Amino acid sequence: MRGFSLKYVIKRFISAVFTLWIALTINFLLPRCMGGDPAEYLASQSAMGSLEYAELMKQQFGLDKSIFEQYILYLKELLHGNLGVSYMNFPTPVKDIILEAIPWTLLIVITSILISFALAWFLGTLSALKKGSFFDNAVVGTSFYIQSIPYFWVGMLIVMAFGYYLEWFPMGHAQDAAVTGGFLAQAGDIAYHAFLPVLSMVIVSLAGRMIMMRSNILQVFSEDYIVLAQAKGLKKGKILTKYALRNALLPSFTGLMLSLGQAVGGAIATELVFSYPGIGLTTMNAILSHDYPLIQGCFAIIAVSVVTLNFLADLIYPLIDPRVSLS
Amino acid sequence: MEKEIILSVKDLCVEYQADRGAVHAVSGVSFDIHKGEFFGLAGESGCGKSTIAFSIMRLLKGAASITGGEINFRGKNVLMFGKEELRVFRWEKSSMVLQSAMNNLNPVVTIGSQLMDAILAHEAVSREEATKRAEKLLALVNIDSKRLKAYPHELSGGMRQRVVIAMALALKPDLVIFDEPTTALDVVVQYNIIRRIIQLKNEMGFAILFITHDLPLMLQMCDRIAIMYAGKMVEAAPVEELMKQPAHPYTSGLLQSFPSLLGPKVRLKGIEGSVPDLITPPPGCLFADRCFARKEDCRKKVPEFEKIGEGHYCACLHKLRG
Repeated sequence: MRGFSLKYVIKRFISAVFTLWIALTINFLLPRCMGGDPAEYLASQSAMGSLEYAELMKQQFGLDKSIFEQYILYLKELLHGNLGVSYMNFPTPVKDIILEAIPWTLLIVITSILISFALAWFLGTLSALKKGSFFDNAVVGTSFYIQSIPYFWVGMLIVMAFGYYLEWFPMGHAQDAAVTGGFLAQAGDIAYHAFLPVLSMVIVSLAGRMIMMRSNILQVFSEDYIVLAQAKGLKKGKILTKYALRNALLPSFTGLMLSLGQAVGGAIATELVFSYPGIGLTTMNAILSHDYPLIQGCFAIIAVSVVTLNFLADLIYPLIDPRVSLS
Repeated sequence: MEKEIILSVKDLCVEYQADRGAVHAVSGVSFDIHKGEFFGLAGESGCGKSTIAFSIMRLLKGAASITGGEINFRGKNVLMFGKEELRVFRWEKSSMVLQSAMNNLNPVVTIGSQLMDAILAHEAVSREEATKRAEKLLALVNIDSKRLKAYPHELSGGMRQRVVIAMALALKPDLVIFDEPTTALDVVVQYNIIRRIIQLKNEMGFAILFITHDLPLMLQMCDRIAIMYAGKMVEAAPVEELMKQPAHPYTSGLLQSFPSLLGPKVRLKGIEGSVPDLITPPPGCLFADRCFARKEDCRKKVPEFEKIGEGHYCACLHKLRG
C-alpha cells in the first residue's frame, strides 16, 4: 500500500533527531579541539589586555567550568533555542549574527542551485537526445574540463576578469551602502552583487549534474519500456516526459534535496572569494577568532538544515517513486 | 482457399555498424504471414530473428540500418511510411511484446495509465471510456480490473507479461509480434501464457509472429515455422511437414538436439562448431562448416531459398529430401 505510514514517519523522525544530537555534540567538541584559548585571544586583541582580564572573560563565558558541565549547559541552552553570545562581538547574541548572515547565503546558494539544476536537466536531456552530435561532444568535453578545475580558482578567475579588469561587476560584498531609494533600486543592487558568486557556483556545479542527467537519460532510453512506448505509437513528447524524464529525474531529485540541505553551509569558499557576508564567511571568521558560541551556532544551523532536508527527502521520495514505500 | 497475406517481407537486409566493419545480421530474408496465422521464427541467439521483429516495427536504432528489401503490410511498404503513417501503423496494425517481462513496463506509472496511453494515442475516446477498455483488456488476460491502479513492481513477472499482452491487443491489431515473450518466465507460467495467447488469437483472429529459440515450444503451437541461421532463412515449412521431413541439415540437427517426452529414447545429437563471423562471412553456404551432409561445392556456391513443396522452402544444395 502507498501513502504515509505513521510508524515510518516516526522512525525517520527519531533517526533524524539522533543524527542531529550526534552532530551537535561533535559541534561542541570540535572548536575545543582546535587548541588556543578564546579568552586569552580576546585579551590579546584588547588594548587593556592582561592575564587577569582573560581570567575575567573565562568566568564570564563559563569556560572555567569543566568540559562536561559546559556540554550540559550547551545542550540545555540549545533546547531553549538559545545559541549564546558571541565572544568577538560581545555582547551581540549569536542568533542575531546568524539571522543577519543567513538570508545572504540562502539567496546566492538557492538561486545557484535552482539555476544549475534547471540548466543541467535541460542541457543534459538535450545532449542525450542529440547523442554524438557536435553539441553533445561540446557539452561533454567542456563539462569534463570544468569539473577538473577547483572551485576557488574559478571563483578567483571570475573576480579577476569581471570584477577587476573589466569592472562590470563588484568584486565583493552583498550590497552598496550608497544605494538608497526604492525597493527596486535596492533589489537591483543586491542582484548585481550576487551575480558573480551565483555565476561561479553555477559554472562549477553544472558540469557534474549535466553529465549525470545525460547518462541517466541515455540509460533510460535503452530500457525496454521506452522501446515499447515507441512501438505503441505514442507521441514523442509523451515518451520523453511520461516515460523517459520521469525515470531519469529520480536520481537527480535526491541530488537536489541533498544540495538544498547543504545550501546553508555549502558556500564557504564562494563567500570567502567574494567577501560575501553569509554564513560561510561568518563561520570562517568565528573559527579564526576562537569564537566558540558563534562556531557552534553556525555549525548547528548547518547541521539542522542538512538533517531536515534529508528527512523531507525521505518523506517526499516515496511520493514520486512508487517503488519506494513508506513502511 | 489461400488466405490473405498480411505481412510480406522481401529480401530484407539489415546491417550493424561495428568497429571492424558491417555485421550482416540479416541478409536477404523473405517470408509471408497470412491472416490469423501463427508463424514461428526460430534460430540460435544472434541469428537475426529479433532484428527482423524490430525491423518490421521500424524500431532499429543506433548502429543498425536496413540496407535492402521491403516489408509490405497489406501491400504497403512499411519502410516507406512517413512519420504519422508509421505512428498509426505501430500498435493499430501491428503490436509487439518484448522479451523481458521485468522491463516492458514503465516502473513509475500505473499499468492502467500505460494501457490507456496506448488507447488514447490512437483513438479519440474519453478517459472514462479508455478506463473501461483497459479494465476489459485486463480481464482478457485474467487479471482483476482493480489492478489497474497497481504499479508494475506490485505484480509478478507472469502478470506483468500478461499486462503487456493485454496492451498489445488494445487496438485489435492484425499482427502481434512476440519476441521471446516467455523466456524470462518459469515453465508453468510460460505454458499458461502461451495457452491464453492461442485462445485469444482464435477469438480475435490476429496473426502472430512468434520469435523464440525454444523449438519444442514452437512445434507445439505454430502453424508454420521458419528456421534462421546466421542471418539467413534456411528452411520454412508447415509444422507437421517440418517435423516429419526436414529438408535442411540444420533443421534436422535442431530437431535431434532436444528430447521428446513421449517418444522412444534416442541419443541426442548436438550441432558441432559455432556460427561464422558475420562481418566477413565465408563464401558458399554459411552452415557448411558445421554440416554433416557437406559436399565440396557447399563452400563455393550459395544455395537459393527455393520452393520444394506446398509452402515448404529450403536453402540447401544437398537437401535431405527431394
